[in-house]
Amino acid sequence: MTATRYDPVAQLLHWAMAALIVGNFALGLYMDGLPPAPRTIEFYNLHKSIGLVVLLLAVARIIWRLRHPAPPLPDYHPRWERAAATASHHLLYLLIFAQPLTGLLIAFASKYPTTVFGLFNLPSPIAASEQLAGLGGALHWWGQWAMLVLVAIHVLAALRHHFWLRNDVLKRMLPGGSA
Amino acid sequence: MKSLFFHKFTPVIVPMLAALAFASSAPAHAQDAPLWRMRPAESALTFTAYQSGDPIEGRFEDFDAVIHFDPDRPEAGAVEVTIRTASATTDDSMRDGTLKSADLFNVEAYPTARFTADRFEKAAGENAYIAPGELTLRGVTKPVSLPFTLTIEGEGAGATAHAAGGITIQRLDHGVGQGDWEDTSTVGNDVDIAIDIRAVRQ
Repeated sequence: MTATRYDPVAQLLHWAMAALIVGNFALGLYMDGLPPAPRTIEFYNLHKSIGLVVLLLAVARIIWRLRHPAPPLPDYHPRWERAAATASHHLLYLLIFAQPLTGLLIAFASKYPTTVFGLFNLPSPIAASEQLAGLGGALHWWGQWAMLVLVAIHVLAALRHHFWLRNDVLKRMLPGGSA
Repeated sequence: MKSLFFHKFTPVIVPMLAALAFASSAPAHAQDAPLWRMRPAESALTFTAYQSGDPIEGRFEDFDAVIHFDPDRPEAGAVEVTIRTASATTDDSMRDGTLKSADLFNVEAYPTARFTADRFEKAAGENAYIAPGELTLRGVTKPVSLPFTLTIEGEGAGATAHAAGGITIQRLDHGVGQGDWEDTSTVGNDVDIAIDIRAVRQ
């Protein structure tokens, strides 16, 4: 028996992460231009907190995905398209780990405390280092644009499947009756 | 008119006052106590602020203390610590820039901070003293009593002293935190200041 849709847990993880990643991307761009002020620190803490949630969801998602394989693609796609789809998905998975992790590197290497949703401070396992924080900052900065490009490809591909090829690839990730 | 009056009579008044001071054997003058020169390389002036409850450590890299001190007569001593505010660092260039900006230290308008005390007091406990003085920071002067312990090695000129102590001040008392920075929910009002000074008797 082969499912034609992603199961509800996979869908929930996908859309929750989509919302958090898009929101955190916008928040990151916005807060980067703010002058240093207590409110700016609060925005940074919120961004870091959301990033941590993304990281936890990414772990949950990988575990879930390993136990619940994705529904198959329509069989008329040429090999190169399948390879491109697989590669871009792997890159997306890589980035949803890399972005929170490079963010954590900045947080840990900087001398600023990270307050998670105002609840507790995340202890840093490493000594403060402007060099490491700078490296993390560069990786995080390039990572955001790589993420933007890959998400754009991901969305455009899904829309192509739905409106151009008129198949069920997008619907696989949408709730609905038994398909 | 007032300044004219003083100009006219200063040559007379000053020697009179001096004579009076000596005649009445007034409390010892600061300069009576031996002078100690701070060793900058072996001295530290550090501060700890709190962001979201986590300590943020910083230090002033450029400061000097002129100390007059006689352990037998602490009341005859005096101290003046001059701190270059632009030398503050927390080992984070971005944060240091903010710290020196107009809303916080405002180092352009207030390049120096100063702690002065015109006497010392013996406190309870071995080698324990207090410097009841005034701290001028960002142009605001407030009374501050600095407790410290002092150990002296050697005697006479060349003797070395090690003073260590600290206090907690409220940054907003001195206006360190204007505008958005008046908010203390993220960066707290309390700032711990610690001294660790080594000096040589002249």
